[in-house]
Amino acid sequence: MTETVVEQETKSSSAVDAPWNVVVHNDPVNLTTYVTHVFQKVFGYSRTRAQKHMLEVHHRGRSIVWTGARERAEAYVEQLHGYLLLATLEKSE
Amino acid sequence: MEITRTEEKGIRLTRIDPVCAELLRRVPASADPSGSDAAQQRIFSAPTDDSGEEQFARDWQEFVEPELAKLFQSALQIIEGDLKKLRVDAISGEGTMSVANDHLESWVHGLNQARLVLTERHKLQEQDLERSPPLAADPRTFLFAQMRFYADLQGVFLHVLEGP
Repeated sequence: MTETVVEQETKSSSAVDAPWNVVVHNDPVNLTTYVTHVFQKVFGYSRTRAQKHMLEVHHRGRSIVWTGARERAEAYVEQLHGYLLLATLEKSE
Repeated sequence: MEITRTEEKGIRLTRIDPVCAELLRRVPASADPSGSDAAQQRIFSAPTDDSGEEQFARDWQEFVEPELAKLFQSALQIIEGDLKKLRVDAISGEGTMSVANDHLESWVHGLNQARLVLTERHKLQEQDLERSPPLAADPRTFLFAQMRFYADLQGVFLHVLEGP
């Protein structure tokens, strides 16, 4: 009985700890300079790294801008929505 | 319209002609998504595409979206406050206003929100946004001018925010 409980907790914990992606999707309205600015503000990225993600969004339609713990990923998605970027959370493969 | 960066205080907009003044005054109303489902959905977009995350999406709507709405509203209130200080010269008809450094982020946000809402409300397509100059015969010419003006202003404010 005790063993079962421990097993469930471990499973639950690993599901939460599994990496999650923060994905930003293309939007023709947002200015490229604005998207770069937001990536720098939210993630503290250098201008070069922020521009790389911006260009990926622009040309490929989406960019994984961050990967990590679920809770933090949710917080990043919320911040990106605060800047009106199209951002979603998805499980990392 | 002329835009001048002032030492420490922010930026100053001078020689604002009546059309630009009207476009500036329209920023808060243009950014309001009320009455347009498409605009509402764009401003409050889904946080996940995963159909297995329904509960997360529901919680988002219940707890996060109201906070985002407050954030957006506070930016527009700052813009409205600045616009109340827009002064128009009775003789020349030209306006003057200032935007403090700590209001620039709100303006960048508000201008962006206005462009997003206008795009959804008027069902603009990507090719519409790229058309320059707009066709004179198009009844949406004023709308395109508004979109272009907001984009240009947003670009200038961003440039000032980021510094040299």
